[in-house]
Amino acid sequence: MTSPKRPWLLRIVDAIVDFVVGDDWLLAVGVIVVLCITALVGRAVGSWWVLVVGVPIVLFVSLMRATRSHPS
Amino acid sequence: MREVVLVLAAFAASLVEMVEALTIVLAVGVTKGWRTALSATATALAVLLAIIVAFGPLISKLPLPVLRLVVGALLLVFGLQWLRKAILRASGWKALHDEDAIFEREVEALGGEGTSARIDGKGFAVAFKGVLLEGLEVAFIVVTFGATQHRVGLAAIGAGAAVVLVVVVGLFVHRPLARVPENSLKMVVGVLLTSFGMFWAGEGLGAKWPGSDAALLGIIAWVALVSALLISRLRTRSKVAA
Repeated sequence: MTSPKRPWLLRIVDAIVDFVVGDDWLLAVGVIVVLCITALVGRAVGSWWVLVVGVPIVLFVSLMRATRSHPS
Repeated sequence: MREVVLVLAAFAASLVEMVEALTIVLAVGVTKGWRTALSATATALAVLLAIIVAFGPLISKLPLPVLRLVVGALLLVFGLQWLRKAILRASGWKALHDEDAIFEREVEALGGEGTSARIDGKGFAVAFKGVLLEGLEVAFIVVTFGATQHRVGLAAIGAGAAVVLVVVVGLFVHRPLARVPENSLKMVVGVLLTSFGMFWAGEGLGAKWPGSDAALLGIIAWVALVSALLISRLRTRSKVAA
């Protein structure tokens, strides 16, 4: 949520962050972590499998968080 | 193959967002007059077009590995957001999008029915914001998807076809398009964005996908399978929690 009292430049930054990060910041952070691990592993061995395994784990954790915090 | 998926993804993403935008435009049209609704829509579409024209060629000039890593990462975040929402809706943890209910809410918020021939400031702002915000995601997908494959035009054709379809149907039905299987489309787009994001981010980081381009089909199948399993698991939890 953006406050109307914030300067317009900060409100634009807020809107961009909100647009990219969306409902759950964990997804954005999780993607960055998975990509960093992929880059590190890639220096030693093939790294495609890190994405194949890591991305579903990020999604799983985000969904578990959502269903724990909003029990229907 | 990539081109077909590119057009399909742009079309489906655009269809979902434009159906949501149409609901807002219809609400403004009914309450504040069609002149207000249509002028706001045209202005928002012009701004979106300007964004695509300005950023499309700019992004295309970046070195391909950097472009693929940045775009792949952004598509991954976007795709996972779409997937998360669609999975929560499909498994009963989040209410399905109800265009009829949104339409009624917007009409009420705009102060009931009563059209005018003059442009209404509040109605213009609501319609403009609705079309611009819903369209921004489409513009982002068109620019990034297109730029990574150097096919911004092709992605724009897919998105444009969806806009034309929604506008034409909207002109005929004059009601919110509640029967569009919005969540299923959102799921398909989420799977495609996440898969392309994984593929491109991996390539940007120098990963060698087994089977090269053909790996994309495997990734799409894998992400779809994971999504189906997650829906099944969350449905079970939803029933237990109920």
